[in-house]
Amino acid sequence: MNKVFIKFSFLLSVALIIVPTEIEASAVNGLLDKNPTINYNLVVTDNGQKAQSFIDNMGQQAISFLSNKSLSQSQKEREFRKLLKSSFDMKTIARFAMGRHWKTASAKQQAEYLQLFEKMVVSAYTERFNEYRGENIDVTSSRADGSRDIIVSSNIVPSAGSKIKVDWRVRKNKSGTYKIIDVIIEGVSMSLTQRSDFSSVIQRGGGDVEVLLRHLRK
Amino acid sequence: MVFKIQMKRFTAGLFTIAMSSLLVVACSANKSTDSEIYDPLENVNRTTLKVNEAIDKAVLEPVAKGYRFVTPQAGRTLISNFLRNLNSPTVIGNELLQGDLEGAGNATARVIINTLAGFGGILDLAAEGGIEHQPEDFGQTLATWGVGDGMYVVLPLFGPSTLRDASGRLVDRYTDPLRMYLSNIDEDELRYARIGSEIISQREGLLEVINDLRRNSFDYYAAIRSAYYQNRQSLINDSNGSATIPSYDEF
Repeated sequence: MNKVFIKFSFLLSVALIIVPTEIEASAVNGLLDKNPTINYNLVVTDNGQKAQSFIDNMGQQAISFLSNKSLSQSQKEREFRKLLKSSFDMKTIARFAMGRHWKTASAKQQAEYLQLFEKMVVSAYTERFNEYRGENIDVTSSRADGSRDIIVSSNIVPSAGSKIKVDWRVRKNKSGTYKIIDVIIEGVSMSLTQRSDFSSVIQRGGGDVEVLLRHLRK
Repeated sequence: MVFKIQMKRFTAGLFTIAMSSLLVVACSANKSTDSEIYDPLENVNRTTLKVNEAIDKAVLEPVAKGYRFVTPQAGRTLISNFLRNLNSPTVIGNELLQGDLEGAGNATARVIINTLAGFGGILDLAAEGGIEHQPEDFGQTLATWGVGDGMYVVLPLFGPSTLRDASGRLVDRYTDPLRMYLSNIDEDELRYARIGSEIISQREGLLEVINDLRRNSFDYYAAIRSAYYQNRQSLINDSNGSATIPSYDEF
């Protein structure tokens, strides 16, 4: 057993350390492998249908201002803010991103954080408006997740190249309207990634929420 | 000479330790900053990431950008289709090892259709016909066999991985029939050309993603670690046929 072990580990070490000339993949191999086929069991409930058309509408709304060449950058930003307000539950998203540190923040910090978070999202996406190249959204299916949420699956289809699989976590709020609370691109949840980022910043800053706020204020 | 042997022994010993911890860690629940992720080598990993980033910014990223600049999207798609088709034996083998006969059948149908009708694999006709590419590797196979991640590691040059996935990568490399064939007939240039074009093609596909993570994260290391785990989890779950959405637990 031990000998086999040593042999195996030796092979590993040789390949990893002594022959690093053969580089097989990029720095983040497989981080965004295109086109994994995912077959969800279709849960075509009434809510599912509504959630699907909600995502479809949201997508069309986004495409219509992104593709509108007569709009200036600031007009596009205004449209984007409108879309955020109508289709995304920014408070839930922001709270989720802070994770367990939310509770340790003071009411004042929480309020400032919510504001800064939205500002961050807007500026991150505003920079990317001109990256739009005629991609279309194709809503494919939906299914319930837990008692409250619906996952709507879609493909973002570019005019050339591979499509990207995007899932939307949609939650129906008390007034009966649907809001997006997470976007999952090729299996990578934006909220979860954000939370890992934020919690690492806070933890490495000694558990102080203020450290994150300082980053956000920049 | 003696020094060399000692060095080899040393590295072998080092990796024995690493591999044994893989087994131990697989069952332990000792998690660090990210509640889901075991990353005891975080400090080393952070340094390696910094080095990788420097290399990437100096070499890989500019080359990938140049590739995008001189090759139209249509051409890049042909190239990535071709490279992906070459990787089919690995995909089929791993589908079989995972006991996924349907997946193995699909991958086999894909390679036949795309090689014969798709001009040696440059066209992905199978995907257009509804048989889409499903990435498989030995790391995923090990996961379906119940092997845990081990721990998170940032490999020099290769980037984010886990002990399990790094071992899987090696197995895939040394069992790849095309690689064996090319090295048997001494076509090292072709072998390196394949590896080189794979790196550039993949890096080009990730230009926006990496740029985004770099620009929009405060702690790039934590963000990329989280994204790596999630993506792997989704790939692993796919082969089990179950859904792939990370749970949305609130605090």
